[in-house]
Amino acid sequence: MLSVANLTRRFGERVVLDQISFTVTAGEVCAVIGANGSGKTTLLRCVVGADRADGGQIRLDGRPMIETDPVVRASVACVLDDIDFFPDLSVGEHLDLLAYAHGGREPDVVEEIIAELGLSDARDQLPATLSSGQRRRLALASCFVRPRRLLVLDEPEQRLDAEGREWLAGALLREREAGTAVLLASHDPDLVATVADSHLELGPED
Amino acid sequence: MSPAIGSTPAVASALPPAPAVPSARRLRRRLRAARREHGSGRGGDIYLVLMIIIVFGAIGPRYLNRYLTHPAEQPAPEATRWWLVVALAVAAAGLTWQALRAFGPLLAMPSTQAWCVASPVARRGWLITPLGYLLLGGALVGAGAGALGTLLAGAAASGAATVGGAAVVGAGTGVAMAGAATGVQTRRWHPAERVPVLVGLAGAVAVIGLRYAHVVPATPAAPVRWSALAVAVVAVAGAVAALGRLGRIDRAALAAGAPLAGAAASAAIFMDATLFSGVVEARRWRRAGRVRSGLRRLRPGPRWAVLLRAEVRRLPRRPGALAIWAALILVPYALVLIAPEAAGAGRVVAGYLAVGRLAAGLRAVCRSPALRRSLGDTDQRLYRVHLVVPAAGALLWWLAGSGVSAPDPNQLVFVIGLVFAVYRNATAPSRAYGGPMVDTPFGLVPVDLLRQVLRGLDVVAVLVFIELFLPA
Repeated sequence: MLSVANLTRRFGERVVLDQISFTVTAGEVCAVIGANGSGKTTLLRCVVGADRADGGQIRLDGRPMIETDPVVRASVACVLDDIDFFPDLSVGEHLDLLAYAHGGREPDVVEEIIAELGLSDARDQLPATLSSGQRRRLALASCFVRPRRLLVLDEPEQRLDAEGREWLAGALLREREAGTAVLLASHDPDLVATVADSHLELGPED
Repeated sequence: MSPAIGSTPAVASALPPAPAVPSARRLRRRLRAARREHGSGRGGDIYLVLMIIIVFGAIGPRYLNRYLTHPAEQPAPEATRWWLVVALAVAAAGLTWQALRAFGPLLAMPSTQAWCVASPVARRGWLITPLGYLLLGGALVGAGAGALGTLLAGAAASGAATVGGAAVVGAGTGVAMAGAATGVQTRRWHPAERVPVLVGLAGAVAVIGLRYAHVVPATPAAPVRWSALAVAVVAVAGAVAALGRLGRIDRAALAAGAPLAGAAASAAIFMDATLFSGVVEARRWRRAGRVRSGLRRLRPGPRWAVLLRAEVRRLPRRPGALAIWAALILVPYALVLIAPEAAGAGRVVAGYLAVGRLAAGLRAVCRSPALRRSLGDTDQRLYRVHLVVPAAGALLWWLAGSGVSAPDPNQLVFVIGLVFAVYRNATAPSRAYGGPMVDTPFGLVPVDLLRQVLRGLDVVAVLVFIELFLPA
């Protein structure tokens, strides 16, 4: 489904991603691992089009992956560090909006996700009043209330408590069973061991 | 031997003596000397302040001078202008109060909080100098506002005594407000504190309505001497209240306005209002906390309809934006009464500001690639959906202000132009300060910065040109 070939990204003289190639098929969870500064986030940002690579190709179902393409936007759900919200829409309204904007018709899906992520009490809260953990949960919820074929998550376990991490692992396993391709960067070895089918290790070569 | 009863004093005397705390004045002097030593003198600050005053303040005096030297361009009767100025003064006083409360008025920037306010230096001593500057600033601004109001009301002909009296009243009011705001600094903001703004706006509506109904009451009596006396008493009371509370202003109260002040300074220096409005908005939403949406959920439908419904739902959550949009309808009517030759251009500028108030959704979508990615459509279609509300607002606004001129289909050009201007402004890409520079009288300015500042305003300038120079 997702194929990345010879992806290169430089910041000035520094080459962060050097000719990276990999594929992620439907129903596969690929974990990107590596030390801080190894380029995990940059790779994910390049994949979803939030950053522009200096070289290489990124394809989704064989088509070049262009971030502004509505087909790509309909297929790819992601949580990166640039997650943003409408300041004047509540938690519940954000999720309703996203579900319906992607053609969803079942309000129960939103309610289920809100309950699963423990956001029921925050349903009417505005994003500015959420704690960092709640914001993270809302960001994750935004991926699960809408249709998706490729899920791209940058350190999704961040700021989640033990219960939240457990939910996340279960949700990713369900995604795998449902045939969603998942590309995630993580520092949590337990999460990676539980959900990942393949690994992509970034970092300086020995 | 067991310790004897009453040995506590012996234990206490064993504690090391508390270090001597320097006085606030001494600490401030040392801080100033250290800064001077490192070359971070006031020269740069003064240059910046002067630059900002020149950039932002050059237009007003020039226009005022022109207005005052062309008495023939003041067709409205003196009574109308007096009442308008009274309404304007009440609204301005309310807004000033709101600003004073939002900024502190006394504040400590993060470095001062960490290094000075957190120390055991006497709080009263530390704050007394800033309070002095604040009261002085209140007096100067108030005096200027009083004199300006008298001039706008056309009372300059009554003599220097009238203008001077109004300046004294203004100065006293400024001191009183600054003192009172300091006195209540530790109290939470109450919505009722917005009442003066609403009274002023209602007053402006009433005056304009009465003017058009030709029943404007006589000029308000201005017993300057008694007013000055009363205001002097209130000013002294305000200053005393501030002095009394000074030692009890806690760190939380001093810190509350710091982010806003920092953002305001950055916005002025970089000429980027979004730096300030972003902080103001975040504070507003944190204060609001939550909204009631449980019973009125968004309904499914086509994407554009869902997005539009969400956009419409968000509108009443910004009552301030709606109020400003509505209040700006008064501007063309007021300009016809006060400065008719500027009414057309003023209407265009006011229209741009009004429509911009309704474009928060458009700005949010344009600013955030993450939002656009998650909403799942092309950028252009997302922009267009979020342009519907500003466009409808522009049409309504222009129609509501059309009482000042005969209905004309050609006026649609201005409506479309305003929407385009707001669109251009909202879709400005994020700023880059590292590009090529241009040499201006105010120093080197990044080209990109100029381009960004002018984006949207360029369309407004074209509309003003059409309004002023092209035949209807």
